Amino acid sequence: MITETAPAPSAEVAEIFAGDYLNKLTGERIEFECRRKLDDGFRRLILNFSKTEIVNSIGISILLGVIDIANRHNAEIVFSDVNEHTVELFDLLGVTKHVAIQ
Amino acid sequence: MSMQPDRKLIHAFGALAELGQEVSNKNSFQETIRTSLHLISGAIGIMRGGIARYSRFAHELNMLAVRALGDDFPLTMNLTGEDERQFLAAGMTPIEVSQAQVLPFFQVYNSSFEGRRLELFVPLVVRDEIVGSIFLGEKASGEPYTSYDKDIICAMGQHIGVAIAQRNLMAEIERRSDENRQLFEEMRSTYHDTVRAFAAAIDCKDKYTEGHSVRVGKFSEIIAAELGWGVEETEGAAVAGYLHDVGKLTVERKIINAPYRINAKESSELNKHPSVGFEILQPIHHPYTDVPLAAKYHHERLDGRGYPDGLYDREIPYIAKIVNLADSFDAMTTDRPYKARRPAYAVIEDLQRNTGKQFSPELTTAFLTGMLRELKGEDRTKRFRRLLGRDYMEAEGLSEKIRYTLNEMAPTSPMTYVAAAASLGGGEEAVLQLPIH
Repeated sequence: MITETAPAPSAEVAEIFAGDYLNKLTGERIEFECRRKLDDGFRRLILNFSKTEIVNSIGISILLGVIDIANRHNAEIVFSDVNEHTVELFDLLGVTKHVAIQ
Repeated sequence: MSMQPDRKLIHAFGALAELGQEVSNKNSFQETIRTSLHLISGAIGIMRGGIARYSRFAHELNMLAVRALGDDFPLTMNLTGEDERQFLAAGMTPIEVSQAQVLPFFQVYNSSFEGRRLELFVPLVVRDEIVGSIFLGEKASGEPYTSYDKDIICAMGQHIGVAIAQRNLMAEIERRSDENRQLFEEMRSTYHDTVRAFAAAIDCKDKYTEGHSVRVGKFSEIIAAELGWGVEETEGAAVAGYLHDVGKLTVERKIINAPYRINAKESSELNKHPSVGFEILQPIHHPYTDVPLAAKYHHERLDGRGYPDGLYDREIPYIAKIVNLADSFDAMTTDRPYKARRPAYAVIEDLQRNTGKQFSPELTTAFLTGMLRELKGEDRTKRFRRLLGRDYMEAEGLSEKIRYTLNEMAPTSPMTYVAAAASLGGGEEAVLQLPIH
């Protein structure tokens, strides 16, 4: 499994784990999972990047899409355990302006 | 130079390389465009956007892929002649939406663009033709687009433009190919209608053999099909059968319709019809090359005793051998002015007796095999029943007779050359001297 959902820490929070390489295939799975959680009523999504080493352009685009969907659901997105290299990329492309990094 | 632009450049190059791969692989076109939009968005960090294809006939942009543009964003947008001219003049240059309000296109769709915070519009121009466009919303960073961003977008836009142009070209080729196929089908249909009309005209001349040419066409078709020929070749065999007697159009009606055995002079006149038929058919460009040869040689026999040229077995065009068998079979199974139709078992015996002398063994075998398959119910097309009548095909013991005949017939006939030699009055030496090739 590239992505998996951890048991919800609280009723409104869901944590989704990204795989080691965030590309089109794995990105679309994350997007699907996020949509599902938002539809289920979760209003705080934690995307866990602890296993993620590389995020490519398609991965970035999909994450921006996830942020847009969350905004439309009045939900909050949090990126957790992002490695330094990826944080630098997120900063560079303005992704971090829309999400909290923890 | 700081670290940041280097990193950004490497990231953008990665996206450009992936885009190059994407447009050159064999993914579906829709998927390629969707991925291309992801790559542009991810290369620069763009929140929303879309890619459209331009129809130069309808003068409209049709969205192929959209990201975060909302359900109310128009999926089709019209361009005016002025818009087209301006976009072509600008080439593949990103246009700032906020500064292009003078163009009708931006005036008409301004509210949609503003509502979704679209900032850049990039016409995709390939070989002086608009093939599509890219719509891009605000950057995730909230910063304005830099010239560096625009250069990357243009580089990626060129790939996407070429992908759309290629798709358009393929669609055009497919459309023309469909048109050609349709035209070909129409021509083929016209050709077959003409051939059938000719066959009917030939048969009209001979009141006793009404429908003969059509039946010979159908029997020839059956033989070709039983030999395993392809659809076109089988059709060719049918046409050869339909037209085999076209030369009879020039023979006097009283000779053709004579209710008695015709004399030598009349026979000589009648026997010219294969050569005359060849002369009629030769100048016509037939889709099937052997049609004139079938007309000319359909009265030749393997033993060299046929006419007009007395050819031997391998000298006779194969198609003429097929038509000869079909022609003879129809002659035996229909009433003639001087001869009643022969019973089925007698016809089968006749075929067997003349196989190797008049008929090629493999053709007789193919023909009888087809008939047997129908009698055994293995072939439900009822081809023979329709041509010969139900009663004729249900003659008692016919299946057994055919099965016995097929078992008796050798696959090749040693009689061929011996019979030919005998007709020349020679022995074994004469056989070897025969002009077989």
